[in-house]
Amino acid sequence: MNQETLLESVKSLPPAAQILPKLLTLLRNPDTSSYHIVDLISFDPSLTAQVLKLSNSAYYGVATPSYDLDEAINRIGFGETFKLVAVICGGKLVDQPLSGFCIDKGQLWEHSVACAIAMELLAQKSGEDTSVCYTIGLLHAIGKIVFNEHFADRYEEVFACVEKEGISLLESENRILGFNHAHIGAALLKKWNFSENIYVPIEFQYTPMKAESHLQLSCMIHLTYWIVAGVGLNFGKDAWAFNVDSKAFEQLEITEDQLHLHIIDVHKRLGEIKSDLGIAQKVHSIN
Amino acid sequence: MVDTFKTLGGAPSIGSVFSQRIVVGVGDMAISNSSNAILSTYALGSCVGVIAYDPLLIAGGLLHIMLPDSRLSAEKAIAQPSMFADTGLRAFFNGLQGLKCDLRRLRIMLAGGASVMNRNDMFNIGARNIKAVKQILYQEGLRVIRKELGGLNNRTVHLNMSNGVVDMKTPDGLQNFPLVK
Repeated sequence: MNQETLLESVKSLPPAAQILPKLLTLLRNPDTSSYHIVDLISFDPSLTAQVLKLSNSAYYGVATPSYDLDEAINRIGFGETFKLVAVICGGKLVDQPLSGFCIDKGQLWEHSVACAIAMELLAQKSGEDTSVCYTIGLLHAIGKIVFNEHFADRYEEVFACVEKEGISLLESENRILGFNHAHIGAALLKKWNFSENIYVPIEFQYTPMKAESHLQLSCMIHLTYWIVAGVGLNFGKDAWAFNVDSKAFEQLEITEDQLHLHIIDVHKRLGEIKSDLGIAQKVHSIN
Repeated sequence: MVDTFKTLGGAPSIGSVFSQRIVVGVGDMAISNSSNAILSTYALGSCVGVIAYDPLLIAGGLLHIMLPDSRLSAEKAIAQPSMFADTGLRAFFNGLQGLKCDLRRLRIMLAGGASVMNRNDMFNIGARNIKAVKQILYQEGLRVIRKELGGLNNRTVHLNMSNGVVDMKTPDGLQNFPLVK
């Protein structure tokens, strides 16, 4: 199977997640008001209820809970509203087991949300758009879902090549399957009308210095992957079979101590989000 | 699952029915002298798990270290000492001694410390966690009887307090390591 037939076989973006590129477009528009966002979100009653519930959580330090979406959005702001919608809708997209990668149900969600948090932390330092960064973190592994659907039975061969040749998982996918999950993930997001500043960094998440545009965002998702691995949230077989490009570190002008502090902060914030969403300690497949 | 389920021709033992699983999170620890307890920690990646068992007292503990050195943040080290190798091991040994464990009698196992493929020291946090833990144990004169360290996979470990057996799971399968001969 080549890349084109693989992409053609993938269904359209699931309905729940179709809101994400639309919401990102709204956020980029300076004329957007809370009315436009309410209009988009309230189309889905379940999403509306979840956004209201989360906007009233302890994280936002609310004294009096809001029961009205417009009021809630104005209180927490557009950026925070986007993150809530992203974690609810994007989360559904990445909450599935990937048997080929030895990733259990819930693990990809936890990894992806942790990456979104880490991207947001790096965005606060670099001045990049936090909503864009959050989306990149949340959806960076979407190519793995597609690969799992089509090539799950070939991953034994991919892993054998990693171990025999001492190469990264990405290189092994290129050798055995002819292309890699980062590339397919980016192509898919492009097909689903996500903007270039989201799909380009996802394509170059393992090789950031090769990105001809959006270099900063590519370096951020590259280091994010390492930060999240440091919290123990990089799941699956040969989860550490990747290289870190130290030039990405130089590009972001971030110190080693700052990276270590990010590891602690991501761990703490993920715990808060899981608590807000009512998710207890996940029991991983390796139990 | 624990061996006790296999006793009495397949029927679960009383101990296994009432066994209590204590989950140790990232940068956390648990100490116990209950023979019904199973201490578990999931997904040790670059983090290092220190498992200690005193066979005479049927007591022990599990520590999940995330970073090598508490000098990174004094504030965080006070809030959660188990996060760092230096403050974590100090708190761990204090806890074990609080249960009257003799540190010299401890059967110690280390697990975790996975690292990325390139050898850049900055990103090999797993190797640095391993080094920090080994150094402190050496300074304390404590011997490690089993090491399952490095590599490309996360590890999950369970210490069965009733018999001192560690079950370790990776995507490659399950292994058992008895800490007591």
